[in-house]
Amino acid sequence: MTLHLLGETIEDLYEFAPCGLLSTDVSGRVVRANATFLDWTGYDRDEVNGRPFAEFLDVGSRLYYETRCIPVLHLDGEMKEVALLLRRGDGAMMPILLNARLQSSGDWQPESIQFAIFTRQRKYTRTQG
Amino acid sequence: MGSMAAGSVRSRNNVNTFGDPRGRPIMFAHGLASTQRMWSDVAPEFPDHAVVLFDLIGSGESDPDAYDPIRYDSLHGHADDVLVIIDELGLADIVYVGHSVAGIIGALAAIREPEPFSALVLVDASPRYLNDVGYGGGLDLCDIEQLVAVMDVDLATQTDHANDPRRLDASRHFARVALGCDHRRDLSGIVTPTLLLHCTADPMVPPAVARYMHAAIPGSTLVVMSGSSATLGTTIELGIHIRAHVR
Repeated sequence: MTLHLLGETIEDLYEFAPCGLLSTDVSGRVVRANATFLDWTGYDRDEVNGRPFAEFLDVGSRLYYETRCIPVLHLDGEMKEVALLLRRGDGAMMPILLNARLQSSGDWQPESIQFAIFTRQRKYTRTQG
Repeated sequence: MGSMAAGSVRSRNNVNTFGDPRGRPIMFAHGLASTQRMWSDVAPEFPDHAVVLFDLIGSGESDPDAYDPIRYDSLHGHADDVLVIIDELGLADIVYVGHSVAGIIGALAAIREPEPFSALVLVDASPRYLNDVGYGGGLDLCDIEQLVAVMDVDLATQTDHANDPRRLDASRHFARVALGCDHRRDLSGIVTPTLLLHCTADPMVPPAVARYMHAAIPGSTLVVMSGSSATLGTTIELGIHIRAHVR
């Protein structure tokens, strides 16, 4: 109701959310991405749809994502605040934080994965041990 | 074999046992950037076995104080730990299942002391991740550096690591040691019956490496599984292949 009063639709909220939103099938191929994701990364919708999400990550991020994040996602059903580097359309690296949730059908078979992509500072400061 | 107090190994490597204590022991060892939790769906499929789960030093809930950069400067340090666990629990006739880097760790342990092992199952294992002349390991040095850099940033932001530089250092060191290893020459020394399982979509290990291992390990069996090793923990296929091998 409030959204309607502000002239926003749920669709607008999805497309122009202040974070990248992306859905893939269980194998990781992108089914849908919102306008914010496309705007931040500079990809066309056609370049994104059908492509494995992991291909948008830099080499190190992709290895880490596939060896650590995906197993955690399948075990826990979700992952939160994973710091990775996303490769933009122009080749530049964009530091992101990634949340993801596994969506399952009634019989617990995973059906899709939903991602939320946040920008982050270039580096986290860390106290040297 | 180091200077560990007897009885400390259970907490040191966070050893957990369940199943039938009189059954044939089956040890599950996790790989890089993982913990024994990866087996939480697979291990319960073996209730007729004495199931042994543990965390490698530098991973999971292992004792952060046990991290020793000299002892663990090669995978042999972890292989020693496997033998200590076996000794401590008094295990024999063991089925050892190791994923990723834990495959080679188990192989090194079984080469050193073949006696307690009766079967090895090496899942997406590799004797060397780096490309070399005439050998396609799959990764270049810069790939490994980038992976370690990403791991570093992510681990530093995880709550269980952020306040404990020991855990962070151990994780980082383990990644470098594991990914920099070269155990190609050791493979021919494996005398334990070995099943190699390889996922076609493994992000780290190309199929050629699985074939290389198959050729190098005497009498080994290679089974190629469809899909990604990333979802290995939840695949039913894995348990079926392990059962077929140890029958």
